[in-house]
Amino acid sequence: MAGLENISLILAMVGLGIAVIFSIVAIVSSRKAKASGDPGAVGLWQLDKPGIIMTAVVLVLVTLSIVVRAIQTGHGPFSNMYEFSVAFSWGIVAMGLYFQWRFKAPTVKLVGLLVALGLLLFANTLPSKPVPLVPALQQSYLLSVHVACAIFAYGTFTLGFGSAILFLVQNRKGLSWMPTPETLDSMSYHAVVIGFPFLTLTILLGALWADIAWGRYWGWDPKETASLVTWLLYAAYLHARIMRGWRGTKAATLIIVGFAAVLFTFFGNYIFSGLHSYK
Amino acid sequence: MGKVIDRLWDFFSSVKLALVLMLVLTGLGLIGALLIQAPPDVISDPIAYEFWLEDAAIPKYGAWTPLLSLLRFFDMFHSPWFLGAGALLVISILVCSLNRWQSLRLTLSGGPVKLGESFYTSGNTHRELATRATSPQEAITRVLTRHRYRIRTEQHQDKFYLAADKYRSFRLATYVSHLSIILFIIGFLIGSYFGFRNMDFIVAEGARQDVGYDTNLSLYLESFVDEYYEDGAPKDYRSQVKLYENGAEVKSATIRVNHPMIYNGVRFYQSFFGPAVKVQVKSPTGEVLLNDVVLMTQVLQSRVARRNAGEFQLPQLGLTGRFISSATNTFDPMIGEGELGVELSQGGRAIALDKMVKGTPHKVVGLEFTYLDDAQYSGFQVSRDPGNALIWIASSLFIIGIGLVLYFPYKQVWVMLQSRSAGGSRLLVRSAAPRSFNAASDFKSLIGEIENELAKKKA
Repeated sequence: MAGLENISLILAMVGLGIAVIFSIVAIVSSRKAKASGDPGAVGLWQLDKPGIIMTAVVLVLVTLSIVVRAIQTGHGPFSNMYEFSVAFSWGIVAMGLYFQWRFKAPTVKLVGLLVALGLLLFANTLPSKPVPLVPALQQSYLLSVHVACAIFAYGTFTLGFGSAILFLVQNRKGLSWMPTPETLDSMSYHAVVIGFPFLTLTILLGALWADIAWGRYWGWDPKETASLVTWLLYAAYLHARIMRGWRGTKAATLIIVGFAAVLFTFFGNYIFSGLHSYK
Repeated sequence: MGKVIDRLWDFFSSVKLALVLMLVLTGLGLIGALLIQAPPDVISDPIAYEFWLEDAAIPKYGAWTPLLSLLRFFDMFHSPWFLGAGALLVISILVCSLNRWQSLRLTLSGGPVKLGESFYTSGNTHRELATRATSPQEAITRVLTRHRYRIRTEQHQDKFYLAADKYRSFRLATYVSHLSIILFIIGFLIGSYFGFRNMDFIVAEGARQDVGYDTNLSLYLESFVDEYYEDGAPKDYRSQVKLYENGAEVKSATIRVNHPMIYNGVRFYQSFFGPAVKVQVKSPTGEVLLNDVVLMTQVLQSRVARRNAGEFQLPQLGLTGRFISSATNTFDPMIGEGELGVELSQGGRAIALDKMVKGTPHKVVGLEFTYLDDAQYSGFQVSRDPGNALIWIASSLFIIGIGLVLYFPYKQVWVMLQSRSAGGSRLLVRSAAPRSFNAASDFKSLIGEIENELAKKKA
């Protein structure tokens, strides 16, 4: 079983690499076709089909690796950084496919794939041997839902980050082969609309679990604080956009800072101590 | 006076202020997460705090320590900065909520139907159509009804006006999510003023301990078990307990991590554990001076070994002392396995230091000490939080409110229809949906449907 988990993860990494190459090839060739002004040139969306299929294959492989491991350990992916990193990349790939279906923007998906590949490579450097659960973590149901919500939130925020980065590029260059700035702006807003409720749920379920395990729902543990900081940044973005009509560069910058906070929260346990100080 | 209040009201009703406060809290929170924070019992004791600064802060932050301490950054979440910014944000939420009531009432009633012509040609999503359909009003009404819009119309001379909206009652959801933040704070305050929390309630095996805080409860620890995995990582801690109320047994339970015992709102959590020793001390005349389980709660770390120690008193003789045992799994050249050290003091001066073997009575300054057996103690966190229910109600309302606001965004459509002298009509359509993430594509498909419907009529 452990062999199957490793093989599917390695295949997923290779698949991600291929999906990245396919996407780049599709983007470059559509750019050339656009530049030549050939009216019969096929759109980027058609050119990227191999990349999309490969991404779907990767999703299946990462899912397989997580499921096999869950059967083996008897719990969801919530006991160490290896499991989190694989789960996080699953969230990105899944949301990448959703965004691709919704907005047909291979460039944004490409940014997501690169982050997912980075996470899998990082996971590969970590000890993957399943460790037994300490008593506080023996609360499988609540914890699985808590982590699942975090995966959806973080995966979606990664796509929002990709849209915001490309917005900043596109706003200056106005490249014909990339989505319009307006599309990118609404893509990152869409990402927050999906991710924000999930992040809220993650924090509330975490508080509920802390109340059961430690007898307090909030204790200013560094990981708790970091997640609150992330939440406040995305809440500020929503208010700025809806109430003050923020669009464009200012909104994109706030999204990028928000994603930096996501990464800080995710990797924070290497920086600070506290109850979430797993490795 | 009125002017001051008006100014304050204006100040707090700005969303800009709320944004600035959120970003300030973000910055302070980040500092609080990055800098080590002093534990609450250290903060409440100035001398302990000085020691903490020396031991924990100065090695990490060096010369910056005094400044960081002066800024209260080592107790960030109780600092005037953090609490002040938080309080201002709460006031801002309240004022903004009250301030928006007027405009929300207008939304609920729908606002004006007839607007100036320039209104229909401004904004991000507007369109002008020309049609020769016989009754374009009906076509538009059909499309909007299909999408469950509420429709209101007015006729002014040759012009027909239509205002439609959808999900208007969900605009109230913004109150649900924002006011639940106020509920969180009320729940927290109720918990801190009417509840209690004892972080280290310790009971030794075979002993009964009063809970205190007017609960009339006491906890008896029958046994404590700690289990480990093969690699030494903890697997399970559990305490078998009996709870007494006014001396009568009311509950018997096993308390473990993630499985607290709850009785009448008082909750007992498994928190920590440690060693204890059963000892007996007799006077030279054979009178029993001490027959108890002594908790070995202190940890003594020397270069050679790690030891546990527990204090005891013999008030009859004006003596104090402590027992010392070797911490498990470490080789100790002084105190071996099955041995217990004893240290006796009088008026703060040590008068004897000796050791004894389990089960064998041993004389120290004329007193007979017997190390009877090993035991364990279990540490609980005991709390009563009357605000807890409110916290979970607030949490549920919070997530429901956020979901409703984001997924049922208020949508509006306005139409102006004017018959042209040349025949047919001129049609102006505008939509607004600031919370919707696909307002533009929504509008496009709505226009498409209207065009289809108009064409159908003509055929």
